[in-house]
Amino acid sequence: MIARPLLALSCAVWLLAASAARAAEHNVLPPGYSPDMSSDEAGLWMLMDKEEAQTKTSPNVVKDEKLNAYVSGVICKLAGEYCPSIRVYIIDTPDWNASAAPNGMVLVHTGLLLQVNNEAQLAFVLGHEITHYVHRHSVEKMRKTVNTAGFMKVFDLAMAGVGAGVGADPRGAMSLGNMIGIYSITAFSRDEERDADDGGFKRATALGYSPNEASAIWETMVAENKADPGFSRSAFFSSHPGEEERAATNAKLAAEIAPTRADWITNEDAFHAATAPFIRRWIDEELASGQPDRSITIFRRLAANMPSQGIYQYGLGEAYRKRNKANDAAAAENAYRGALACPDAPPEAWRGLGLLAMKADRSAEAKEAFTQYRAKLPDATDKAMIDFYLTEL
Amino acid sequence: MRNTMIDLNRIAVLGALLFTAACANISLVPADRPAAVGNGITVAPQRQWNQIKDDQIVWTTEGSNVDKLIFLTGIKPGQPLLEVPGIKDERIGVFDSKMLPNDIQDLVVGTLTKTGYKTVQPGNLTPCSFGSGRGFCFDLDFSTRDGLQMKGLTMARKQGDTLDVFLFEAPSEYYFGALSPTVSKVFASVQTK
Repeated sequence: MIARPLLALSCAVWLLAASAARAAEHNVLPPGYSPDMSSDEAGLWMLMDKEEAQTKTSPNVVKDEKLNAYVSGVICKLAGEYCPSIRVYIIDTPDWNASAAPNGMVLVHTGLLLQVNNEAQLAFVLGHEITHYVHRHSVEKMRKTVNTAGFMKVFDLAMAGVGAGVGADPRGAMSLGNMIGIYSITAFSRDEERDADDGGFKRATALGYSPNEASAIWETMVAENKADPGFSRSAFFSSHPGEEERAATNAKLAAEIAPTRADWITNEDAFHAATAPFIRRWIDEELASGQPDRSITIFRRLAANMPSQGIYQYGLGEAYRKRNKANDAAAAENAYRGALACPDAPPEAWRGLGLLAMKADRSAEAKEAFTQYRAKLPDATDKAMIDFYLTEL
Repeated sequence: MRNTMIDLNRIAVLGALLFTAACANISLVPADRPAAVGNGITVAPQRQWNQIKDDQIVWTTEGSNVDKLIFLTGIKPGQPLLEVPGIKDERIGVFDSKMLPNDIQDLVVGTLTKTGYKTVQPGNLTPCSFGSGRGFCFDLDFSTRDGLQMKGLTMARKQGDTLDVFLFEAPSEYYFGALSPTVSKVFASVQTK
C-alpha cells in the first residue's frame, strides 16, 4: 500500500523536474513576430490587445510626451531590434512595478520612477521586462498552467485510488495534488523571473549601465521589506525569487563583469531631468497610499541619497506625521526642518510644522508656521482651514 | 515584477463585499422623514434613497457600485474609519482624538486608497457647519482601479473623543453633478442631539 503512493509521488517529482528543465529552454520571439491566428498564443495576444485598448484610454496613463519619450527611449535602447514591437504606457500608481505583456505592451508604474535612483536602475528593471516579452514567458506560463491542471487531475485520481498511505480521505489526496500543482507553477514562474533577471542584466550591461546598480535595486528592496511590518512572502508558493537571492545573484554577476570596463554609466542627471517635474505629484501619491511605514523607508533613502533636495525630506516629514506613532512627531519635525533648510522646500513643510506645534499646544510656534505657509502658498486648497486654525491659536 | 499581498487583499475585500451584499439589510429611505444615521445624528434625506445597513449606514440611488453616501459615525480613538477585510486596523490607519482636520483628511484619503481607489486627491478643506456645531468639509478626486474618474464630498466633525464622517462618492461623469446638490442639502440638514 505504501509503494503505490510512493510511485505516484515519484511521478510527481519527475514531472516537476521535467517542467523545471523546460523552463530553462525558451522559445525566443523572432523580431516583428505575430502569432498564427489558430494558436493558443494568438488567443493570449488578443486578450492582451483588448487590455491594451482599455489601457490606452485610461485616465491613469501618464500622457506627458517628454516623460513618455524618455522612458520609451530607454526601453528602445534595451530592446534593440524588438523596439518597433514594444509600446510603453506609464501608469500613475505609487506601486514599485513594471510589467510586459506577450503582445509587446509594457507598463511602467510611476512608483518605480519615483523610487529608482538613476537611469541604470530603471534600465535593469526594464531589461527584465523586455526579457519576459522576448522569451515569451507569459505563453510558457499559460501552457504550463494548462498542462499542470491536467496533471493535477490525474494525480488526484491516482491518489484517491490508492487510498490509505498518503491519505485515506480523498480530500487529503486532492489537496496534495493541488499543492504540488501550485508549487510546480510557482517554481516555474520563479525560474522565469531568474531568466528575466539574467536577460535584463545582459541587455543593460551591454549598453554600459553600471552592473552594481542591479544588485543595488534588490538590496534596497531587502531593506525596505524588512522595515515594512506588513510585508510577507511565502518562499514555497511565491511567484518570484526572494529579493536576497536576486541581490546576491546580481552582485555575483556584477563582480564578474565590473572589472571589464571603467566607463560604466548611471545617467543620473538625465534621469532626474526627465522625472523632476513629476516628483512632487508622485510623492503625494505615495503619501496617499496609506502605507506610512513603506513611505518612511522610501523617503528616508531618497532624502539620504539627495540631501540637497528638500522635497524628499518633506515627504519623510509627512509620512512620519501620518503614521503618528510614538516619537513620530519629533521625527516629522526634524524632517520638515531639514526640508526647509533646502532651496526647493515645499511650503507645505511649514504647514506640517504648524500642525505638529498646534497638536503639542505650542501656539506661538504653530501661528508662525501657519503664517509662513499662507504667505508662501496664498492659494493653498486648505487656506480656509489654516485661517481658521490661526483664529483659534 | 514585484510580488505583493495587495492582490490577495483585494480579492479578500471583494469576497467580503459580495458576502456582505448578500447578507446586508436593504431598505427604502423615504424622502419626507428625518433619518437617524448614527451617534444621535439625523438628516433630512431630500429624496428617496436605498439604504444598505451593515457595520455602517450606506445610502445609494443607483446602486453602491455607482454612487454612495456613507455615514461613518461614532468612531472612537484607535478605530479605523472602515474595516477592510484582510488588512489590520493599524495598517488602514486609525483615528486619534488629537487629530486636526488636516490629519483626518489624510486618514480619509489613506482609507479610500486601502479600499482600492487610485490617486485620491483631496481639496478645498474648509470649516463648515455640522448641525448647530462646527465641522469641516473637503472634496475628493480619485479613480477606480479600472480608471473610472470619481468625485467625492466629505463632511466631518470631531466631538470630544468621537469622530463622525459623511462621505459621498460618485462617478464624475453625470452622477456626481446630478446628485451632489442633493447631498449638500443632506449635509446642511444635519441635526445633532
